[in-house]
Amino acid sequence: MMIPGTIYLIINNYIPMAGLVLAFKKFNYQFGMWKSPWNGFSNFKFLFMGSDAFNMIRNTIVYNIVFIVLGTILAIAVAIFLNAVPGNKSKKTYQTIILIPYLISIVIVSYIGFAFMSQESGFINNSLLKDNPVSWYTTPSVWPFILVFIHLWKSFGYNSIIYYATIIGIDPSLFEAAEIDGASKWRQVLHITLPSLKTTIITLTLLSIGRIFYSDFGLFYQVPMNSGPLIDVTNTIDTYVYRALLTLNDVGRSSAAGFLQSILGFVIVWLTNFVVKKVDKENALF
Amino acid sequence: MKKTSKIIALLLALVMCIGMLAGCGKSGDDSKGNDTPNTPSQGGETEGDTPEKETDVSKMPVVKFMGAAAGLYDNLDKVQAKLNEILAERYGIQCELHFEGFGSYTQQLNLMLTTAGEVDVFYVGGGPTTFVNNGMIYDITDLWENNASDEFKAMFPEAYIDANRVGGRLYAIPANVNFSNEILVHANKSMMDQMEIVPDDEKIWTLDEIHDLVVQAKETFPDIYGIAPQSKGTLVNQLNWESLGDPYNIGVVPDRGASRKVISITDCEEYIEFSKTMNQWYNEGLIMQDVLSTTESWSTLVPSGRAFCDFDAGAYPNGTTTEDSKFYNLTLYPNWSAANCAVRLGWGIAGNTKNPEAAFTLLQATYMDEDICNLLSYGIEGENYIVDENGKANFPEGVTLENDTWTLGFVAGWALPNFMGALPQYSSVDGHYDMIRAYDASAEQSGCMGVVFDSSNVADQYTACINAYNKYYAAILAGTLETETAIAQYKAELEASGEAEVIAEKQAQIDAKYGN
Repeated sequence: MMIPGTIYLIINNYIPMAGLVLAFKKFNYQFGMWKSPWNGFSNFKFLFMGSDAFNMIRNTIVYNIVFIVLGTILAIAVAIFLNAVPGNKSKKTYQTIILIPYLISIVIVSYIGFAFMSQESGFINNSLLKDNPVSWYTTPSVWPFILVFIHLWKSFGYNSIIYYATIIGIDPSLFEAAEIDGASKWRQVLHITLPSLKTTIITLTLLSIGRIFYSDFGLFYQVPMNSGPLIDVTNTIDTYVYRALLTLNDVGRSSAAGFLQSILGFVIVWLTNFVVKKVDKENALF
Repeated sequence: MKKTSKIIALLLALVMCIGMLAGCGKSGDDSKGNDTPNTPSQGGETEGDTPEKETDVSKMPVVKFMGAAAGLYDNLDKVQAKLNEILAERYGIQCELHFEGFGSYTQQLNLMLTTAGEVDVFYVGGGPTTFVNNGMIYDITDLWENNASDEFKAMFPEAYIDANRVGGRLYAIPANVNFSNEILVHANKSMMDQMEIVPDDEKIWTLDEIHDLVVQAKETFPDIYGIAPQSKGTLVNQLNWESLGDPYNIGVVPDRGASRKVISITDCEEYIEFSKTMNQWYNEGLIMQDVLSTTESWSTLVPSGRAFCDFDAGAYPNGTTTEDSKFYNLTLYPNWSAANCAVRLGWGIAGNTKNPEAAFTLLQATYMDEDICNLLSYGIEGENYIVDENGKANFPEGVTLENDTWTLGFVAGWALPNFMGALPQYSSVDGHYDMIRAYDASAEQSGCMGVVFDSSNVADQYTACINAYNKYYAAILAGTLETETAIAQYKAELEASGEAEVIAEKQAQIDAKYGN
């Protein structure tokens, strides 16, 4: 039974790992991956140069933490509400509706955003802020909120369905017993639903933490329309690497960035799992 | 269960090691004899130099050609078949054509170049230096010396060929296009006609005159944008400062490179003054307010009449505006040849090509064989184009730019090796190519002609500076930020990113060619 899955993992996840050596090489297309000369850690240097190095690492981590915390709270809340909706038909309708944003391509999302925020023809400036139009694409201070909003809008449907699947698996007799004992809906959520979701929350959060040094390229590059004045708040490791190496075709430096992201992600997952293990051994991932 | 997991974990680790070793083996096969791969065979000692002319098509070497396309190339199979007929008969080679849109060209090319034999002849945008640093391009010095015909060698001035040398070795041939550009404003022709303004072709316009013109246009046509961006997110790319082909302008030489002294863009008087003027125009509402975030550029906005005008750099000799033109060209600064004019568009051979001689034969044919130039530009005669009564390429009956299946030459011939070797197209004035050559001959030459910046010695500082560039350069030049404050911030960030070292390196490269 495991064979197809294992083969898939080997081909897609293990064999390409050999490519990690590129992070330590000055890649030459004629010599190929193995014969290109080694150059130690010098490919990593560019990630820590300049005034923006701190900025992009901070942005990547802080945005991800906000996404994980708010995303989890929103997804669980929606899953609980979804469970409370009476009737199968309306449940399915809501499920489909909340899933739609997840299925929209980020490029389309960026144009929807532009339709709202364009300075000359955008909905907000033309209908809501007629007298005091805002130049959205040159005002960095509003973008942390816009990016968080768009991310949550796009992802909450998918995540809430995962939590919803767990909620419907909870033994109904627990809720019935609580109701007989006079527990309010809120008490039921607090003492039955949330504890039952604990394992799922831990697993999903650990998986998200593993990717805390990565970012959704489309969200941070396409949605702000790559506008220069916004870079301070929209620059993440991925967009920085893309912009810096766009014309240099530098395989070594790109690999170094990817290598660093995975190593740091691995260390953080390992540490978080270590803490989970200390607190609650049952729920640790490994 | 635990034991099984451990066994699987061990197996996976083992497979990873095997994967690495397997990779080693493959690489060895691919790069056989490639330890000094960039040295072509020396004069007459290889079998490639004295070939018996092969008559069996199946035994002819196949050269893979990769170009960047802005037009349509749906009729690829027929064009390739026709091309192979000519190649087999005249050159004893065969060819596989491959085109990729400009948006995905670089990515696709990089992927193809990682495997030997996937591509032989390719379009080199922006000069060969990066390709040389990454070992992607073949040293064609000896092929050029020994295999190029005298006519081919005479096609370009020696200085233009030299600009494509890195470390004294030649890596690319410039595309046969214009080598000088003027900085100008395209103004929508029909709006100008409605305002009853007929510009004098020879007039040099001032920014104040352009300002008044845009104000008049905005008053006459209140619903249009005044000035559209030159390219996506950029009001104007560059004016009269010399950047040595560096698209990020980290360190420039003002006044068309005259002083040969590199300074920071934030100290460049022209950059500062122009930005201040644009800031004033932006606040007056003359410039499209979404200039930084719009995904459209002048080429769609101005001809369609949604914007009145735009800044651009291009080759527009006097007398080339015709009845069919959609815009007038108002010259701001007369044409000049930048240091990188001969390397902006070029053609080279892949570093891991298996048959450099055959690749060079194809490269030469795409420049020198008129039938091949026509075929690559306009496709199949009678189907994709006809030769009209003026001897120009035109569309056959019922065929238009929208439904033609091969429009590379009609849309962006400059992306081909030698579109000026093909027929002129129907909309051009008589003698257009001669006018371009005369225009180039009259151009002011950059003081740093032929110096193309190689960033490899300061790559870390350069990449850090690019980040500051992305943040400020276009936004300041488009007038969207308060100029003095933004330039001060730009300056501080460039300095913190190691701009001084990039400037010193640029200066050293100029000094190496021209002395102190």
